[in-house]
Amino acid sequence: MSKFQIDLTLNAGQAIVSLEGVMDEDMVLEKVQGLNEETLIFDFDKVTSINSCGIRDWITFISSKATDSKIVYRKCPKVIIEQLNMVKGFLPEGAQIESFYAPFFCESCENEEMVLLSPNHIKGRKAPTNLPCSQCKTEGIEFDALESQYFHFLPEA
Amino acid sequence: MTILSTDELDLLFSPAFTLSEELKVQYFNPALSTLLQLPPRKIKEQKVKELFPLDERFWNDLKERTQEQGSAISEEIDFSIGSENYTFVFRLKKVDSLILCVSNDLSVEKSLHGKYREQLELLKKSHQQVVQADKVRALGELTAGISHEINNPLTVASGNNELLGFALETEDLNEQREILTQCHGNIDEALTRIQTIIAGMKGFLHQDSQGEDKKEYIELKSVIDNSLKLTQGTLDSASIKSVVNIPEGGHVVLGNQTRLEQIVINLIQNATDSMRDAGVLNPTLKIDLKRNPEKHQISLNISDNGPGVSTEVKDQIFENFFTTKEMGKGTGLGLSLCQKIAEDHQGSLRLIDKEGGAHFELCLPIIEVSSFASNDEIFSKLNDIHGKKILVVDNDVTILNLCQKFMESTSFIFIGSTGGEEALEVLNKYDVDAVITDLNMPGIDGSTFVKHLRQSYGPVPVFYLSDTSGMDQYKKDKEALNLSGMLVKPFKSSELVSLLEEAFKG
Ligand SMILES: [Zn+2]
Repeated sequence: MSKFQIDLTLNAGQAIVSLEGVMDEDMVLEKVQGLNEETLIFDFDKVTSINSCGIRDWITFISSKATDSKIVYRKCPKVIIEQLNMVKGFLPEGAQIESFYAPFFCESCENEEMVLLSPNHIKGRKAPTNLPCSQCKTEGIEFDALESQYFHFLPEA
Repeated sequence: MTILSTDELDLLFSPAFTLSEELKVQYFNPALSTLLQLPPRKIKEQKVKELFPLDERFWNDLKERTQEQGSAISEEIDFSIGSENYTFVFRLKKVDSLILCVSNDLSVEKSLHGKYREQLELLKKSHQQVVQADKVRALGELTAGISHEINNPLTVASGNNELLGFALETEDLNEQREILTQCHGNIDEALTRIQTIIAGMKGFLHQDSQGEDKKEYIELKSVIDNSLKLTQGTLDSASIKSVVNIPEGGHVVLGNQTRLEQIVINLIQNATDSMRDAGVLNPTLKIDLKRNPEKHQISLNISDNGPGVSTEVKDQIFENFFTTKEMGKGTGLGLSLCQKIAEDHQGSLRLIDKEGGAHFELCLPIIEVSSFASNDEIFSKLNDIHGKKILVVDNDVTILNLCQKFMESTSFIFIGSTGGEEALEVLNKYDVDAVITDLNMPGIDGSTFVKHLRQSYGPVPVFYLSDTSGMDQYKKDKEALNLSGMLVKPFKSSELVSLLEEAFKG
């Protein structure tokens, strides 16, 4: 089985592209090369890692799509957010992030978890402070990365 | 200049961090957190050996070197984090009481390099398959001609066999002796002819285990002869006259006989097709060999008096899949493949501008040059090992090939030359450690060659190479020319090697 897979669902005027596995030099994007729907939704939920070759190929691909379609990134895992923050062009101009994962840590039960957030949860690059722990239900788990770094892709204020 | 602040280190794309005396992480940039896939609270004040799955000695050694010399660079080191494999280089520098550690991530480069090597191997293999397929294709197109070539002697043989039958019916066979002998001779000649054609075909199609990269010292004349043997029938069927002009003296190159035949056969086929399709009057194919001493090359020229190559396609003929032939005829790989083969021989294949007709020139380096070129590879492979360079001068290619073979498994490096003049030129340019020379050669003989050598070249060990008839010459020259010994033909590998080892003793 290949390290990278794409699932494609087409609705009226909309394509949902689910990416899965490793985005590297062996990634093949042929399946989605011809998409020209009004909205292209990329679901990164199952992406496990990405290297500089994968980033390069992705930027080439997404910049060719961004001119004709509205681009939406869905369920970006940590590895994708780290690239978004570091590499210009990974999120093309005008593209929208619908949701993304952020690491949290519960001081009571030491549980680590990834919480799915949407950009409107974040105000001024500050993580929400009132989230409950999924295990012990304690309220107010702590954000488990550097806020200024992790939320860099979002507007400052 | 002041040291970078941590704000600036935060900007680095590669992991950077500082270590305390106890090798605990003090400052670290976000790239380290990304690499380790750990939240900041699990990095700060942690021992570096707990963070990287690396032997503790690795960090201790680096720390020691940094404290002694102020800075240190690690070797390339591999480790895995989660399912990811990494290759890194770390650079450390003492900053006050801390050690600053920056890194370079070579993982992608390394894995791409591995993949690149793999692809290259695959490409090499497919190239060999393409070469083989082109040979089969060429031979396929020649089949009609070849069967015609075989049919002629076959007709002669069966005719003579019939005559033999009649002769055998007479009572006194002795009376028939003359005709019997003649028939036998004719049949023998015919069968030999068929045998050579078939041997030529088999040789041409043969693919050795090394994928035909094996090069030997070969006479270009035999390349031309063999190619004509396979194409003669086709040439005859198109009433094409072939004019071959090979001047006196050897035309030896270091090459692969079959591959060079492939070039010549391809060129002959193209010429034949173009002259036949154009219905040229008195179609003539010219093949000649020329030595270009000033360029250290031998050129093999094939020209015709057909319509030539039109200016529109001139620039494209060496491209892959270019063909002017109709579908199903020719793969369009012929000329590009031929050019590739020429380049594999450190040579070139080009189209020469000419009034009327096409003229292709295949240039190959003279063996003295290619000997060195192919040995250059050996030099770079062996790097530190200094093999002794042995110059062998002999106009007989079988002897050169034998010596090369004998030296292949030793540390001696073989350099071949086909004559005294060429050898002197080699000696002008390159250092060699010993010389072995034949005595009877066209041009200057071995003894004269060594006289010249002694006048202008240092006290290098020189050996004669001859059968027993050269003994007298050897005895005569031994003192005067300071000869180190003589190798008597025929000789074995062990004799050659022990002779050389003896010379370099002490
Ligand atoms: Zn909890």
